[in-house]
Amino acid sequence: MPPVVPASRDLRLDLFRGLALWLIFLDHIPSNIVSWVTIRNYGFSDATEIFVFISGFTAAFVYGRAMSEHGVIIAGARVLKRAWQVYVAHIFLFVIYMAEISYVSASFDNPLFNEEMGVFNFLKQPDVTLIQALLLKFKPANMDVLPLYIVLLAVFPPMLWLLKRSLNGALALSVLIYLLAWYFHWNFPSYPDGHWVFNPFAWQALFVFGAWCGLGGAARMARVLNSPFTVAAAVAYILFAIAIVATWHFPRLAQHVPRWLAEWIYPIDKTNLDVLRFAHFLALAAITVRLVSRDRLWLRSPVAYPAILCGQHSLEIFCLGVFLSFVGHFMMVEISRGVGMQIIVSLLGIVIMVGVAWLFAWYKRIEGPHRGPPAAAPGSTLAGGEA
Amino acid sequence: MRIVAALLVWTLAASTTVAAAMAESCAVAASFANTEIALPRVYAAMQKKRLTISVAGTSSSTLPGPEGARAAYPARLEAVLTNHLPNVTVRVISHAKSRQTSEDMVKTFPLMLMDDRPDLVIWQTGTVDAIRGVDPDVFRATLNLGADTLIAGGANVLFVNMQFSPRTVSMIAIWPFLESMKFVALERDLPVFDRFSIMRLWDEVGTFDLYSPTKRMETAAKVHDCIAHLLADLIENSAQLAVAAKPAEAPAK
Repeated sequence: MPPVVPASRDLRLDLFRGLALWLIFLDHIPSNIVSWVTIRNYGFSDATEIFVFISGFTAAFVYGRAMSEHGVIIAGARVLKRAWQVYVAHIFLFVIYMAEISYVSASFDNPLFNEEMGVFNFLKQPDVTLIQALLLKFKPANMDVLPLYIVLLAVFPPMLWLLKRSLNGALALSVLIYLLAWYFHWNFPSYPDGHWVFNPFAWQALFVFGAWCGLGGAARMARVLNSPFTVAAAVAYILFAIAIVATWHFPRLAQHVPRWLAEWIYPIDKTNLDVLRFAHFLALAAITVRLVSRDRLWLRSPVAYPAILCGQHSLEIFCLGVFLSFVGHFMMVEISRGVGMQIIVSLLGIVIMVGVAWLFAWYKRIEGPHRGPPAAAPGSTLAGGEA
Repeated sequence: MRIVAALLVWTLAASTTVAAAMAESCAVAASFANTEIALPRVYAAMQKKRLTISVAGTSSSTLPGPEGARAAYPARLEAVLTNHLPNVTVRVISHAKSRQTSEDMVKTFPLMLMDDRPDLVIWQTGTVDAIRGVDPDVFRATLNLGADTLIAGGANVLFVNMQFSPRTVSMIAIWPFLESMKFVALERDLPVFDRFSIMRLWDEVGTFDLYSPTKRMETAAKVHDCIAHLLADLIENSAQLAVAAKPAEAPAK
């Protein structure tokens, strides 16, 4: 059954966000052969960039319209409600993580891994750990994206207001914050030490850039995007990234990277959204927009439907993906770690994600007419209110 | 991608009977223990028939119990190298101590350099920093500082990255630390002994059971022995590369 979509909704957003959610799921299962298909093995950027960009784009699209129709207060309140939902989802995931780690710690004993046992130390002080988790300062491995998203949404209302007043002015402010964060090393503190893995001061630039595109920036860039020079530069850069990343997988190739180049490009910093990563995402996006125009018929065919469905329920499916990666890893260590198992776990996980997304769509359909603010625009329902 | 390559290697290794000198199980991961980066100081030391190696590390460079020190990879490395290089006096001095962050270790480097006068420093680090939540940026800066200190002290440097522990791999955020170490090594042309990928491969192809809970030392000792063999191969190969690269410089120590 093809999704019912108003003409204004760009299905490519849902499609690529859905695909990004699958890739994040695959990447979160340690030692999974299927994850070699994910884009982080072929370039500097990964699914996180896609997710953050599209989230910014849809947030601007959905709440921007709400702001035009119902004013700043209503739109702002809806953004904050969304931030709260993401916060609750994050804490829910944290509880699942605690259950997993408590279980493992009770059955873990191996003289080889005395050092790694140190990770269970925080279980000895639940008072501190739980409070730090509620404050978003203690974040277990692989649980860094949602806290970033919470912060981005929490400060989005004034940014959205500014974007609507002055599209380019808001983007300039966002870039300025990005640059200042690099210069002054701004970041949020973490517990017990260090900083956030995804620095909100840096990653906001991609989110706001997505919002900028969603509010008309994309149309302004159409001429630049369609120029053969842009396409050539993007292709060249993507090939360059593939060549560099190949030297990470095959250390023998590393000697072919000139020293000056290595000194210039390394380290490629994910925490602060390195310019090389940002540029790599832009290059991929430029090529994608050119290859997949929004009126492609297959976007409405059953082939694209599963990914689109997941992309339309991104928060739920993101959380489910993180949960399934825990379960998948658990199954792999408890039952079998063979290649066959890795493939089965990966495919099964994606099937479950699609099935649950379908279930959410079904709930929305049966509950839709009776619930929610009557003023919600059709586009916002399809975005799932989900920016 | 790595896994695919490793599986290929594995198939090849499995089809040819590997020499008995090294447990065949170890050889599975041999492709990860080759860096193609020369170690000229080590080569010069071998020429002078006296090779001193210092190991800076944490508890994953040790094993517990009364037999632990002899079974852990630094002691095994000394035995293997002595066996391979009968004319060279090989000393491997372990400074491994549990719960040290990289920063803690760097503070001990000047003294270690003075006491041991090492030709090679094997620097194993990362897990403690990851568990403590040290900033990857700080970790990277510390690796740079430490490597500079060691190089200025006249030693070649070899990094050893984190262990692969199947039960905790999804719980410790070691990826940024693996990456940081990789980048520091790439920038400075330092070899990395990729213990993480090696142990992951052993786990995947079933060379060792790294998962089952056990109090016994048997598997742990075998793993350390294998690490020592692969490390020895890497060190010897990298030393030989120094011949081709340039005539060995051997400033008086």
